Amino acid sequence: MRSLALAARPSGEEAEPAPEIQSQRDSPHSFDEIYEQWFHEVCRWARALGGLNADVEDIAQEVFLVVRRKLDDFDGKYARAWLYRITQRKVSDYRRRSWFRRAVYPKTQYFEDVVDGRDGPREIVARRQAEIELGEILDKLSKVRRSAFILYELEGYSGDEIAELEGVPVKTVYTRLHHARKDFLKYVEQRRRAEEGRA
Amino acid sequence: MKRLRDERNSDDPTLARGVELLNEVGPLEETDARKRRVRRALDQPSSRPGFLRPAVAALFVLGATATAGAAWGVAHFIAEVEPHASPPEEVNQSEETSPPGRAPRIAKSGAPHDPAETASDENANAAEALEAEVAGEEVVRTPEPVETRGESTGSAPGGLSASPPPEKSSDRATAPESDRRADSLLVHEAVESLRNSNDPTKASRLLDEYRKNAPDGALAEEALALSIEAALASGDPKARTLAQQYLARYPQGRFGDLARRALDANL
Repeated sequence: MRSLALAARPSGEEAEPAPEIQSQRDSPHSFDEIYEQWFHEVCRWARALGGLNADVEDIAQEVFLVVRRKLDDFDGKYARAWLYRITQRKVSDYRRRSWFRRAVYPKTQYFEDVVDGRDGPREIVARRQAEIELGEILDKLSKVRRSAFILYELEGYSGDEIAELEGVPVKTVYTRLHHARKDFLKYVEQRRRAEEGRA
Repeated sequence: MKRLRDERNSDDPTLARGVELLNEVGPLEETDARKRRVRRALDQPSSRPGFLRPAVAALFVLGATATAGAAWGVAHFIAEVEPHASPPEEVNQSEETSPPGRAPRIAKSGAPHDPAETASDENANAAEALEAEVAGEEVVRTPEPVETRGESTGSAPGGLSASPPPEKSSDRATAPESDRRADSLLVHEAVESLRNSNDPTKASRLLDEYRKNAPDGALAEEALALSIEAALASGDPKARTLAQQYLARYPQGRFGDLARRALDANL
């Protein structure tokens, strides 16, 4: 289970602030701590909220720019919820301007470069093809259903965790998942039939 | 609630395909490389945050639009003060019959001419193009209006020859997306040929086609690496050439080991 909030910094540390930039001195947590602890989680949220084809790195960068800027106002509680809200806003901005991004950066990479040397070209191509196909299917789902689906089915979050992140009852999450799954299978079926028709 | 990814041995082909897709993609991998890249970008004081990039591009587009607008204004001004300006239908006249102020550029390409006059012509052509675009007409952007309008005038001066008619603007807008899809399917099919059909020759052919169609495509590096793999599988000495190409193009490429193996292979 992922921790839902960062532990408060012991008061003794306040007397000896770390040699960091001025804006972070009085904050209960340093930027470095938050970055180290939450970076991967923010990336997962970015993909879940923005869709598989979202540029996770760009979104993560923008999220942590906001974190750095707003660290003074952050009280150290509910870091997870705080970061999730920032990610939601940044993904929303990202999707709003995606048409512009496509026009200006036609060669933007569609996929995460997740190669760690284990996979050969066959595996990478197969995965990329699957990412394209799955991304296109999931883009047809509504925003809330898509994020719940990706977090649950791909990232392995529990219904309770998703409910806490989204700030909704668990029952709502399962309802979203139920509909998302139906939509997902409907679009898979459509594609499968279309492929059979072409063959 | 059981996860779809955990469904096993489903008889339903749709469910099986969905499960396959989910398992193929899987969760986002936690890579330190990504973490370092973002951190580096964050720590660079001079680097622009991502959200500013579209703004910069928008400024560029605005600047370009303003420049085009200025050119259009100048062209109109010149057209108004130019006493010998020809009506548009005279554009197709031959070199001998064209008035000097509005002769088609193709008629002038082989002879010395006044640079100021050329500039005036270019502005006028730009103005015509803009007007045509505003009017919703298809804009022919080739520099040889005589040829592209289909009138048989023979071989053009200056060694220019007739070219095929340009694509319509709507085709230009939609072609890359469909092409990209079709091209990536070639790679997909090549992988299938290598993996399931054990047919490296077919895989090589498909990959050659992809690399020809999309030399800078999203899968260019993978296609080249797969070509090496296919050539190795069929014992084709071309594997060495491909490996050299790969190492030259991607010195730090992720399939460098494969390329070096191909260089060492006895083919």
